[in-house]
Amino acid sequence: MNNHVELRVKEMMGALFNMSSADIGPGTSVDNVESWDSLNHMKLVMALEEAYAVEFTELEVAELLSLELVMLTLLSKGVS
Amino acid sequence: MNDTRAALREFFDNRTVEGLAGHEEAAASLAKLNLEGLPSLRLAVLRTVTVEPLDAYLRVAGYRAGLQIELTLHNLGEVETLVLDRDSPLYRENPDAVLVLLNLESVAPQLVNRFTDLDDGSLEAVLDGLETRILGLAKGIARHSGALIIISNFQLPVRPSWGILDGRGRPGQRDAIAGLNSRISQGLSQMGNAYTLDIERLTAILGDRAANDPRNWHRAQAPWKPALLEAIARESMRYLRPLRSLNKKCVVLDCDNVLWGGVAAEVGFSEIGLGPEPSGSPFVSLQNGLRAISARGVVLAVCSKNDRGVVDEVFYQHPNMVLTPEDIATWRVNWDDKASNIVDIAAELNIGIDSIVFLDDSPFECGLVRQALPEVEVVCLDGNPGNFRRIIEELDYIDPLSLTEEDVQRTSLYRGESQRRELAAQLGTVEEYLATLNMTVEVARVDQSSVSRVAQLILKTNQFNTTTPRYTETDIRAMMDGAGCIVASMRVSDIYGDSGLVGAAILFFNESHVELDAFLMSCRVIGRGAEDAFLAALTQEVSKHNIGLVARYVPTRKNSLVEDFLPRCGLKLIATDESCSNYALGADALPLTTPAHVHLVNKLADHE
Repeated sequence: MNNHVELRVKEMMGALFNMSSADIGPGTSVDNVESWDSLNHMKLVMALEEAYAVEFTELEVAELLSLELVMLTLLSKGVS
Repeated sequence: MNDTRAALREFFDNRTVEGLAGHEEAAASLAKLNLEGLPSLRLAVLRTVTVEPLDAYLRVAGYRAGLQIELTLHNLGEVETLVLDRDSPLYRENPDAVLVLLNLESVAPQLVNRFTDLDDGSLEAVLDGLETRILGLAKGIARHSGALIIISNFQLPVRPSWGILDGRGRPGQRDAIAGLNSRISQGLSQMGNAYTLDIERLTAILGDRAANDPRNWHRAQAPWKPALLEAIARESMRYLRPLRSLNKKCVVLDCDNVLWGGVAAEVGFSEIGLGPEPSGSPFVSLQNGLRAISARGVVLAVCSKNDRGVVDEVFYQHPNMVLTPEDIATWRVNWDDKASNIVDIAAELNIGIDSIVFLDDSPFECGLVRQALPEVEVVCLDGNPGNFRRIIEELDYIDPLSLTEEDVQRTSLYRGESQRRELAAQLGTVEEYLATLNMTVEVARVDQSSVSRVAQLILKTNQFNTTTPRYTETDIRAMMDGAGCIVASMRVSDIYGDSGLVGAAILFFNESHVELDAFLMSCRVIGRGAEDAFLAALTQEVSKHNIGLVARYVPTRKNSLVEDFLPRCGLKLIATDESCSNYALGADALPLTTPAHVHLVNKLADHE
């Protein structure tokens, strides 16, 4: 997995969830980030789609629930 | 306050803020800056759509505009309930402005989804009902608050329900919605402090696919993409700036290569680019754009390094000029630095320096003004002139909220004021700016590689030229090879790049003295001390012979700029008549000193 994309995704999540990107790691998920609510989830989806010119399916949107899943889904769309 | 402005300028100059995540990051970083004195503004947003990302876009657009936006995003769908109840949270916040964002799918779904089911009568009823409802919102807000009211209009369908039959034989969907927008906008304009936020137009600029996301409408009632949200935020500032008097009041214009193509003093009145030809058409178009800006009550001023006669000739006599002398409130056609001229213009017009927009094609002038006067909005027109009109049309900080008779007359009011105010403070910053340029002036004898350029310069230079001799290339070659003569050239470079060979001089050596027969320089580099360094380099060579220097100023119609140059450098006036002033400087006073900010490379001694 391309380090650059992962770094940028961490920065984006940090900005949207109002936390330091240094605190975001493989285990970061909707279960352990309090500010990862439905509105911020929508913002994350919009920001990712905008930044990488991709469209997520409804199923993918519902499953983008951790850093790991975000990275895997981006990879499946050719973002690396 | 100036520190705050400088901090904001530095922030935005040093990064591109892009996309939703970029705006979230920027909004967070900006919130951490110490922005003391930044005017704040309470903005309430009512909406029928999910626009949560707008928060970051509005804050960043606010900082760009010089405003601290205190935003309250009211609950989705609560529009009428908040507006009609005088005790609602909307009014408790005492907002300075209320922005209402509506989408047609929410307020009149049948117009979007069931348009083909509507007969003429029911369509009219739907449109009437919507007009009443939306104007009712504005009146409701006005009843309980003095806030500025901004209500969005509706996007036009890019794929109307009737397809290519839309509007044939029965009212079309596009016509119906465009007509509704126009009725709402007229209704609001009659209220005084209520305005339309033209989402129809913002969407047209971006295009449907860049602006809208139907998936996100169904998923989260968020039909507008980040790009449209950013456009809405920026557009909102056009209405909010004037509430804190942050709209610009005056556009200061350079002339050569801004109002017309080419340097009028060099190419001549008849050869400038201004007219229907490809090289002139962009400038005519730009002038038309400036006239439109002027009609909005924004004052135009001219600030050009030129002789007044050259500029006047174009303004008064060129058949293709769009702007007339009457369109210009005040003129600064001189050789002073532009920052001082702008301070002077602001004082005369009695407006703040922060109310000024400065247009120039020279990165040097733009850099100087940016550094000396960070509160001036500088627009560098150094690209393709074909884009100039669009660039000035996109300036979104010059709109007033209303136009009085006085605004329309403003230019003539200013023009009547001939009295210029004394400046409280002189700028010390020009020297500071020059010191940052890392200027190098290289002076050398003319050789085979430079002789053509020197000859061209001698023939073409009209303004900074002490004697205006018209030697040909053959003449110069003869002098190069002859004894008792130095033909010198000057090159100038700085952090903005290499200006190339921009100066030439001719020295004749006699028994008793050295005569400065010619001394000339391109106006592109005027005002930076290059001319002083050039003359200093020549005197270094003269002083080796332990004799004095004599020089002449021969006035022409175009070279008044150089009239004071020789005495300014310390040469003494010996004799003068109508055709010529003679100056001299004794051997003991040579060589002249080089300006401290210039790195002088004197290669005059390097020959054969």
